[in-house]
Amino acid sequence: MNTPAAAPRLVPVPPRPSPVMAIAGAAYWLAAPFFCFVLYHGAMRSWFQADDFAWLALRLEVHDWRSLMHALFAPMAQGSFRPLSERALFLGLPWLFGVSRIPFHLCVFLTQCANLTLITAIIRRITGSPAAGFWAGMLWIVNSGLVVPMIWISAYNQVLCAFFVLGAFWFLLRYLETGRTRDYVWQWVLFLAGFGALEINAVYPALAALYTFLFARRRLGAVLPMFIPSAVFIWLHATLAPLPATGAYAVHFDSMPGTLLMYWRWALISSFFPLSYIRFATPLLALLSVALVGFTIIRTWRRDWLPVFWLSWFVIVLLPYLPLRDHIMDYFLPLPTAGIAMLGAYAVVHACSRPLPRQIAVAVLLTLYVLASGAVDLGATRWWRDRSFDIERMVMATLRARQLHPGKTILLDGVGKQLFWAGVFHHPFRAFGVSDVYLTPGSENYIEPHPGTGPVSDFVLPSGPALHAIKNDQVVVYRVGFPLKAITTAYDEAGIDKLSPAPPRRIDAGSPLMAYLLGPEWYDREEGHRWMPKRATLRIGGPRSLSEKLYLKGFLAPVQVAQGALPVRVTVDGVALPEQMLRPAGTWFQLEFPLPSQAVGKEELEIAVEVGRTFLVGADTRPLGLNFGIFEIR
Amino acid sequence: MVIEAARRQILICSLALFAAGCRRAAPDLTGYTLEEPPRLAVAIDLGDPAFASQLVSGWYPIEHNSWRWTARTFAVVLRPPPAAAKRGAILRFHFSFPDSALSRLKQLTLSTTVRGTRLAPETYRRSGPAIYQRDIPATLLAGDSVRFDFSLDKALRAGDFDPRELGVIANHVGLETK
Repeated sequence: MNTPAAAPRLVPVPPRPSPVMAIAGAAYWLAAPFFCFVLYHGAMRSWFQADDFAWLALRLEVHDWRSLMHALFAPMAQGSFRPLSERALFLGLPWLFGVSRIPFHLCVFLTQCANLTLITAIIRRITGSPAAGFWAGMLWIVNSGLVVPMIWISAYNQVLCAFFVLGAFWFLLRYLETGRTRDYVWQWVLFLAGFGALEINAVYPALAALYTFLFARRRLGAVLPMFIPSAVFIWLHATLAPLPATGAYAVHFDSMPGTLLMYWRWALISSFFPLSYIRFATPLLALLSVALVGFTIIRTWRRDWLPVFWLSWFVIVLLPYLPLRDHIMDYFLPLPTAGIAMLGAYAVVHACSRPLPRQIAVAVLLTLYVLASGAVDLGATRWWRDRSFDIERMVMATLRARQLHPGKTILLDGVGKQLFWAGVFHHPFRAFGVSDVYLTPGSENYIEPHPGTGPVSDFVLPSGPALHAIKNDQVVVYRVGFPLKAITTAYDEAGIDKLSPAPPRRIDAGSPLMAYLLGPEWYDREEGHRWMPKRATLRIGGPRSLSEKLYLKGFLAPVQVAQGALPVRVTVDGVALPEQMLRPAGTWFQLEFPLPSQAVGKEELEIAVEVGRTFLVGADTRPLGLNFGIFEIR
Repeated sequence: MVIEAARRQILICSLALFAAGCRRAAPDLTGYTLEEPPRLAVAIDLGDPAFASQLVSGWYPIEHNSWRWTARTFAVVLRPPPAAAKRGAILRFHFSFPDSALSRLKQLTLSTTVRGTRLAPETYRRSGPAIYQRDIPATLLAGDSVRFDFSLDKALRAGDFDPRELGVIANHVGLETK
């Protein structure tokens, strides 16, 4: 059968650009990514630090589909839910490429390149000015709010969220111009995906609605449904992770203006600005503020709403962070400063058509801002990178120490505050499969405490167990530095006279170094915990005051409370404490007991714990009582 | 234009990730630590082959990954524990006799010599786990190593139960700072 010939296409073919134009076009789009590389190539070499280790350790908890789903989607760390920007990133890249910093930094860098392309495209589309697009990318990448997300992998959520918000906004612009369903759907897809990156994605409908209200009011109805997913997400978040009443994440609505001003300052002159240059920073902040706010007011007076929209962008995106008075972080700034960058770019381009004095003034201000910010960015990047190198050397050397001394506990001596709070505190050794690493007794005296973050003492081997371990040749001691220097012999000789044999007030029943404090009833330790039979004893340091209490923390299997609450009886030096009942409540338990007055000031107490009933598991013939855990008097 | 740029970036991104994607071999960590010269162990699990170099004479191969038979006389070298040269130390030797051995020998006496000084002997009349424990004066614990020569008054003769001469089943020997 013959088929009819296809009708000739009458679509005009666009003229092929000349090679010069093609190169110029490519240079235009690659300028900001190239500048990004110039500023942040040092970041590409930096290693893991701080929260990165907690996320890297996540992969060790994945054993099957169920644990994978839990690792990907269960709310963690302050109830955060970021399956794309944290969970998938830290599970997927090590699975694909091993634990290497390079794929992570490539991900960050390439996502930011996409963001720079988007911001250039957005302002170019809105203003029709290629120059505005160019300056928006440049002003954004030089902004110091991007330093931390570019170098610290855990802050990738900010970069990825910016991608989804800018991407959705780009498709909104296309939709407002063309009315095409495809663009509208893509906007929704990117908006919804943004919830997998960061919670502040919830503000996108406010940005979209404000823009549509100002510039395409007849399409406002198409944007309003986006508030529904945001509202549902906020409700779910508040339900699953209620806001704490105290601590860094407590909300303080009364201090929001002050917090906003702090972010404004950091957005313009950087939180990293050296104190020695503060005389220079304050006038620069004042000049930039007057220029941007003044420009916005003048343009708004002339019914040009774009500047006020971009200024609102800054405030709207920051809104979720403003109540967190005690958690003001410079790495929250990438997306808010995109608004400032677009405002600045618009102002620069606008100045080009003004009289020469105004052009010169803007050029001077622009130069000062770019030079000051660029210098601060390079310095801050170097600081973050060097700190990560110190952590890398410590962790790698500790892995080497574990290779050389597989059966021994490793004690690190000389860990300073920076290495502790950016490294040790986040369990970096565990992330690489190494356990039984502690700081030497007394290290807590050299590390500045951060009570709101956590106790240093949890990472220090107490004096009594350290002495016992030295006597039994159970430890190797290293002085931190590069290389990590073994000092076991000298430390042992000095420690034997210096360390007190008194039992500590915190006993980890799963630690082999504290087993000598446990009675003979206890079973062998299993992966950091230890079962007791119906009754077991241990020795612990006595309380310093009557206000201190005894805390028992361990793991609870559902079968233990299947027949009802499980009675737990505790005696202290033979004195019975009030009986407590363990009820079904998650996979772990914590009990709190007041201590008798006669226990105060004693160097050592004998604790006996007894449960109302034991149970058997499978072929294990041991009657199992409770699974510990920590005993602590504090 | 933007779609084209995005397409280019996705392509570059994919290539870069795949280039980085060759799984690296485990890093060579040599040189990350500066180790002390190798030290002898203060205490030895006799079921652990890592300590074999400190067993001088009179020890048979490890059995069941946890213990060794000794001959009638046997010797071990240990490192004095920290501050032992000032405070002295405690020698602890954990061993056991099987029923069948003790029923033939009736009793066993174990003695030890350190640097020419004979420590008080001890006689064992019951089967099962036993400990030989002695205070070692500081004067005998100077230096980096100390040799302990153990001696039993009698042993199972070669051919009684086994082609070898058998003393006791040894589990652990070590020094501990006082």
